[in-house]
Amino acid sequence: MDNNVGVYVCSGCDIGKSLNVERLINTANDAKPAVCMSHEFLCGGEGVSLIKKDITEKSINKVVIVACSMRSKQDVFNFDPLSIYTERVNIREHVVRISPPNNDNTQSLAEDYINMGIAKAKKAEPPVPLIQDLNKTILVVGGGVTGLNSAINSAKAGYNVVLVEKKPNFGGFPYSKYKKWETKPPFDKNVYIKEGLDRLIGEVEASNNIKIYKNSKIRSISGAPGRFSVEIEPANENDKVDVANEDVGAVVVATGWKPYEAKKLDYLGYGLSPDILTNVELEELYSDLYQDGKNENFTVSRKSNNEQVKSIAFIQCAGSRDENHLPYCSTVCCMSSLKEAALIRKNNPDANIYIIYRDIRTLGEYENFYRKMQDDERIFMVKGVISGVSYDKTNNIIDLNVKDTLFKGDITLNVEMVVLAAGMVPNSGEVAISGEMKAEVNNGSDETQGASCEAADPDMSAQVAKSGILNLTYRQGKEMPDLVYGFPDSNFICFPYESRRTGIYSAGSVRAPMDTVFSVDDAKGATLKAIQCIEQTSKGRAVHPRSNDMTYPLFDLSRCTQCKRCTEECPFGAIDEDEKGTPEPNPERCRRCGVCMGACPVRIISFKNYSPDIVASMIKSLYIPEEEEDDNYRILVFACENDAYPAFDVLGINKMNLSSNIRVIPVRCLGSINNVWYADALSKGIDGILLLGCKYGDDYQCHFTKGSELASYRMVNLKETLTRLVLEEERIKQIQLEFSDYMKLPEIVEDFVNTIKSLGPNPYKGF
Amino acid sequence: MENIIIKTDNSLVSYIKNVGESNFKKCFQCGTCSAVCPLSTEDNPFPRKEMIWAGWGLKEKLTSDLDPWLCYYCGECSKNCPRNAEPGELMMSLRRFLVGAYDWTGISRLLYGSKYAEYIALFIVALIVFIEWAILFGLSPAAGLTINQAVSPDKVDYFFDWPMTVFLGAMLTSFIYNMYRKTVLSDSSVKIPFKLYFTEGWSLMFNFFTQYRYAKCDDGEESFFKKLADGKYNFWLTHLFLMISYVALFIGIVFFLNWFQEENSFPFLHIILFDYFASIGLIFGTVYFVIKRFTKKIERSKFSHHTDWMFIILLFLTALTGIILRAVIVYKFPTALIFYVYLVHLLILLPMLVIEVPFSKWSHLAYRPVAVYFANLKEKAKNLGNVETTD
Repeated sequence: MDNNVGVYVCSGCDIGKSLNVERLINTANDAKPAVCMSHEFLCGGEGVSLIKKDITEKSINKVVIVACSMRSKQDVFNFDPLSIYTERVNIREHVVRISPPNNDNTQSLAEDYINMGIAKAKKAEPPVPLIQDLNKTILVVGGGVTGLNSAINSAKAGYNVVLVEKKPNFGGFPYSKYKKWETKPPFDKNVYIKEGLDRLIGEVEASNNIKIYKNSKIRSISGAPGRFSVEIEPANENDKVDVANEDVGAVVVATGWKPYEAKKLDYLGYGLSPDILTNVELEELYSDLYQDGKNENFTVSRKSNNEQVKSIAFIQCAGSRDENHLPYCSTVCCMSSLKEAALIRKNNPDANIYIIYRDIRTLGEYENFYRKMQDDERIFMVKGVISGVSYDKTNNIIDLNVKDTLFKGDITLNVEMVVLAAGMVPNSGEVAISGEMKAEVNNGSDETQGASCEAADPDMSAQVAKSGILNLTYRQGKEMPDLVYGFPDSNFICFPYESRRTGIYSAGSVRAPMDTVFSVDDAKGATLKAIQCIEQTSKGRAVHPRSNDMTYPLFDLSRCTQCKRCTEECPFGAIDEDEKGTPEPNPERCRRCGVCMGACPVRIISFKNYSPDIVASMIKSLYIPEEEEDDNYRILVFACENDAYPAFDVLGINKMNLSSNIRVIPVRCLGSINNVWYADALSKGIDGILLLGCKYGDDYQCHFTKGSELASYRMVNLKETLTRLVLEEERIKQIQLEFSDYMKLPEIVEDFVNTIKSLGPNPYKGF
Repeated sequence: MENIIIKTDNSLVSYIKNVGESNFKKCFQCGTCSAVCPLSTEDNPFPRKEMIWAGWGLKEKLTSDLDPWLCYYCGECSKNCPRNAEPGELMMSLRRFLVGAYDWTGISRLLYGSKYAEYIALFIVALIVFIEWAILFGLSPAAGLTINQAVSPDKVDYFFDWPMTVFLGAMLTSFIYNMYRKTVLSDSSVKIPFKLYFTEGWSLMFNFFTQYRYAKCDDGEESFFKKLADGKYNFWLTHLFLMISYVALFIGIVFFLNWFQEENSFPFLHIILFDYFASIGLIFGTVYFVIKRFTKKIERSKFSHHTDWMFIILLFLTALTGIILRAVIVYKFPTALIFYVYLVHLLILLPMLVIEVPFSKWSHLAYRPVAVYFANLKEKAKNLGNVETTD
């Protein structure tokens, strides 16, 4: 491709007042661009038409805009992305707004940025998107409340749906149950669960766009968004039904939940007496009692002696919010216990009901239901923790010892029946225990150890291999990776429904514990995500978080050493591999983070506008003064484009001063930093390197899940190399930064610059 | 730490709900009430614990509790309650419940439970008074008699005032003993040295005659005189005025009845003091409280139980008929008229005293200072105990 670079320097927004624009133009001209000019109002109509004129008349195909941040004026500098490469050099927020005006250091900061911009523009190229005609069917796994809603919503949006349900009937967990809680004030009626569900099931079954597989499960899913191929087999192995094949574009996983195993609740007395039930068992008891007579006038009796229940205790958080059981809150148990209490008040009006809770969690409007129930004179709310459950056989009474109460002491309650409000466990696949799976896992790790490069992904060993739900044929495992506690969610704050498998979205209580009302909304959200994925992928564009990015990683496989780093470290499992270990990229699954590019030790992975070579040339284009002076220290900052780079912008908007020793290079993710850049920078004479990226760990904020963690992991190896080169390891530092932490930036930078100054200049300077 | 076996009492919960308008079941035990209460102390916080005891119907806990009497219903708790559970009103309900709990006859519980029971009780006493009057003085005065001849003050003393006083005294004494048993003797955690009963005796009298805890209901930073000027003590002072007037009149009619039947308007200084001063106190006080209960502007007058209304109305009518009676005597109206006014006055006065003092609202005049005294004893005894253990 021709390199017809056009450099356009804007002198508006105080740039002209703070910098010597003429000198900037001279600097740019050193790189011999085809056009180099300044304008005092580049984003105005006149400025833009100047550039457009150059594009047509002088066939400029690489436009370098030296003005404001790449995050602003995107609507103005929007030249055809497929034929024109546009590079934005940010001398407004990153130079004039944060540095003293008309100062040599400020001037050289701006000149360095221009040099880097031109160096990048020379090597970068416009993207060549992967536009394909893809399948737009949505596969919905699970026919419960969420699945049915997802299916009907997809169908209404005009997409074909394949709906797979394991059981012979739709409706999921609640279908066979008695009544649901009223979801709207004044909370005085309980509706039969079936009423609403049957309507929905009827709608789904009548839809022409929905292909239904009941009694079925998924044998395997292979492919990528827009070209998944799904094998559906009978849930019951004895059924003589053939395996069906379906091609789909995206997947919504709505496999729901299962109750926490009652057997594990023996510490709360489960099994002591037949009158100690779980909440699910009570629901079942209710639906049985109702089914027996088909009317509501029944009384709940004790299983032990068939006498009417006179006192009943609900133990909330039974095995929930407990590190030894389920460490999380299932959000629905409080409401379901209150609902059951309301039902018991109707059916057994003489019964006293005790609800032993740690915190009552009734979300949103449901608080009003709690208030209503709390006011009932036969319902007693007991704040406390169960310290013991014993069964008095002679009197057929269950004694509950409660500690940490509000009674200034421990209390004992004598009741006839106990209900354990157990939590929800996501149906996200079973932990693989078959010999075959074990061997597979072991093999994987053996190979990793044997590989020529250092083992990489610290995450791989932490994840438990699961199977049984989606049975993906991905290199990284059969199911979606968990975020925490077995929920295959992505980051709970920013990206609901997202998983670490592009094109596969989780919804409903498999994603997070939730009730049916939330599940209905969840179904809509995940469906929209699935539709978005199909549409974006078919246009060759990335999905969240680099939405609309049309580049994708290109592999120069002839130079690949089969080290498998890329296939292991890809946070989204986008890269499979053949038997030899050669990567088989699936661009449709890719989120364009560049983690593979950062991982590759032989640098064969690159994007059209982002590659080891491009960044290396940017580093090489920097001017490093050789005199030992405070102003001449050069610190390279790799700033994550998602949080850290915008934080610098906000700093500029707020006109806060920042050291002019730093040179910021935006990176897609800290995980995309290739170790060669450190070597390039240090040999060039850069005194220190600062990595600013997202928080990692359990409550990570990395937009690509593992990028910033990988960067820090790779730095461990790097530090050894530094020591070998007799360079202090403090010269490279990674700091976790949130966007909202921009106020801390000046201090962070100042501290780092001072550390470097105390170490002295890079001894390789000038070599 | 004590371990209690919880026995919830649904009928007690309903009873407490019935004798007031607190939504104590709505309480989620945040403790805001105890925190904002100007009277509750760190060692003895209330009314949070009472909220849960009432919600659960824990009878033993509630009957052994003195705190309801220590509360003067400033209403800060009710104002700040995030659930509108009305803790202040609960304390009021508990006082009504406690009056019934101390009363071994069971009459109080009937009166608080139903307003018709109260009407009937008052009517029965009035009927007895009427029959007694008819037997002693007939249904009309003989011609030519002065009022002192027609209605002899000695007979009124012997047959009305003194028996009534003895009855009231006996009832209240036994109820207070009951209260002592339930709140002090039953409390095994504290043993009160005998000497303390006397050394702390002053607090009983002090509280009775000053009701100074009312003043403590406002814990603002301002000075006494600023608060006084701002009317923050109006309720307390009116209440105190009313109470002292009542006590003055009560002593007057029981022990110096013949002064009141004296026709001379200024025969003795004490008539002026007792009669006129006290009558103003009664009328002013009762009208003030009736207005407060009607306007419902301050927390403590927001809710009114039927016993509250009955008491205040009877007290007002007693004062009113008393003044009319005094007027018709002083202005020398015909004896027959005085005779009937006298009868009406007694038909209001005696039922009010016999029913309201031991069994209903008026009993708080005894329980409140006694409760403060008991609480004082317990606290002092506990502190003594603390000193001993630390030695």
